[in-house]
Amino acid sequence: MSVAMRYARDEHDAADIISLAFVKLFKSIATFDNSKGNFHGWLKRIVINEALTHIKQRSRFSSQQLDHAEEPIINNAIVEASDAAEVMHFIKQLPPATHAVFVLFAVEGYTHKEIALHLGISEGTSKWHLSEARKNLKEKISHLKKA
Amino acid sequence: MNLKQPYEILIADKLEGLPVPDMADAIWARIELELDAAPSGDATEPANPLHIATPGISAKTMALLGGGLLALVVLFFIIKKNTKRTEDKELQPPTHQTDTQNAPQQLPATVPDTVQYMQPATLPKTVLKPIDSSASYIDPVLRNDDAFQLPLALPEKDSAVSLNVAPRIGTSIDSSLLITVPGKPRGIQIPDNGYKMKNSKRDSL
Repeated sequence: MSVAMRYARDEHDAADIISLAFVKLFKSIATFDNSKGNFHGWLKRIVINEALTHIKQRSRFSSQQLDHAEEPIINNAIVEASDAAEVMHFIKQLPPATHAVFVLFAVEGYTHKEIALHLGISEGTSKWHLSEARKNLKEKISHLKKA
Repeated sequence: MNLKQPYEILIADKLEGLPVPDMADAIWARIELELDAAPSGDATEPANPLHIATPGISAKTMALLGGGLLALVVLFFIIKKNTKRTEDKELQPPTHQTDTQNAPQQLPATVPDTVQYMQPATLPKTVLKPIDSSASYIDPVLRNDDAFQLPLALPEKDSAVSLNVAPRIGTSIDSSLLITVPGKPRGIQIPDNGYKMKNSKRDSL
């Protein structure tokens, strides 16, 4: 559920993602190969794929090319001081595609190549979305600091 | 751009502990609804290796046919069993009920203790034989009258008890008792001169 919550706009959205993921799980349980990985990892991948399908349905991934961008610096102390729900609130305010790329890269640890493969976009577009996410988050977290 | 920023690692750690709303019931209801609504022949379903695709016959029809076939087999065995029982009853001879009170007493399974069997291995020096007082015969075996003083209960004449009585080896028979019976000559006795044929007259031929 926590995985679905990272990609969803709200809890109802997350519930939809989880339920559809479990339906897929029940239908394809026979294809699970224990030698390829553990069940938890398999279930997590199904949930992420379902979440990305959900995001793709409501947003359009525009093709953007970005090979190099300046990396904004955010004070770690501010992030540490804030709680998870607060941080998640800022992430949810990102555009859906940017939100997905940021969570895939920063939280799940996917590379730009893997993100591009999952979302059907180029690596440059993935980098552009990440850059946009960092800029937006810096701005929002800076506001939090001032408050 | 390809490396994680330190604050991103912190964000990832914080998101691991994201509070999860308690929506388990709603999620399970949705899952149940989706699974019920999903058609049985969904293309997304994994191929079942045990499933044999039969063109033109649906799974429901196959199940009905299988059930009917099973019912027929069970019915066949029940009918066969009943027929066999009826035949057995017809072939079985009428049974006589034995009245245990009026039935003649059967012989005891055990021989009375007073009867002693003489086994070949335990034969005494003098051989004991059952004696029938009404019969007159010559017993070639010498008897020792002392042996009859033993507390032996001899079996009756018609008793089914058999005694292992072996003739005593090495018993000498008095030659005076032997009677030689002259045997009847068999065949024709021909003297030696009977083999030769004599022609008294040479010109008789």
